[in-house]
Amino acid sequence: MTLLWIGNVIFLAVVIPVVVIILRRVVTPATEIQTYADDITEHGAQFAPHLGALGDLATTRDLVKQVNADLERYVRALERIG
Amino acid sequence: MDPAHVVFLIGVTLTIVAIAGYLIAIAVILKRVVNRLVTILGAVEAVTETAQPVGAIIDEINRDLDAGRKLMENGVTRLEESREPARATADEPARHAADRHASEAPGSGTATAAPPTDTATAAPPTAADADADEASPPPRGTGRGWWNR
Repeated sequence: MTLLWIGNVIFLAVVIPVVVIILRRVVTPATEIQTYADDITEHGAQFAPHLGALGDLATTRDLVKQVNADLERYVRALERIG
Repeated sequence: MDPAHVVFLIGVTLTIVAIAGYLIAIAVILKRVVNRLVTILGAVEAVTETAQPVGAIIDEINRDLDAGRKLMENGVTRLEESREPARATADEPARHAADRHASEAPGSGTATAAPPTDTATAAPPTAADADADEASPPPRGTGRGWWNR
């Protein structure tokens, strides 16, 4: 019976705190991961609007093609004048 | 039941409750993290789809710009080459006119030549000028025309 009480005391004074400490060491990184995920989501939402100008690249390509065609006409006209 | 057993059971129960509570907390946190990661993954996929054709478009723009630069460079080169002989021929008549001025100086007995005028700015010959040329024959005694034979 005495050994059972000694075991109970050790269980309550040592095992349970150790279990709690170990579990807290698991929970703390998980909480940090959650905070980082929240930050990434918050700042990642601001990333997409900065890429909106990429849609204008097709317009830039078409304008460059038009400029090339006009430039060719301009050079031919200059050669005709010269 | 012995009190020692009761205390033991209470200890075990507390331990199980603590472990279960922490595991549930960890599961909830991981669930939130997974939801966030799904959102982030969707945003990253959208960004990837948006930025995927950018490389090809930029390559095409660079090719067009390079072609335009070469076109302009070739045009300027051809213009410079075509303007070089024109400039040389433009200098030649001026030099000849200067020589003619020197040989036809006053006192040599011949009429002074009119200064060279640009054909673009000279007045075109009129019908009266043609009649005057025909009406006034060249003076006899000078020159080697058929009228002196």
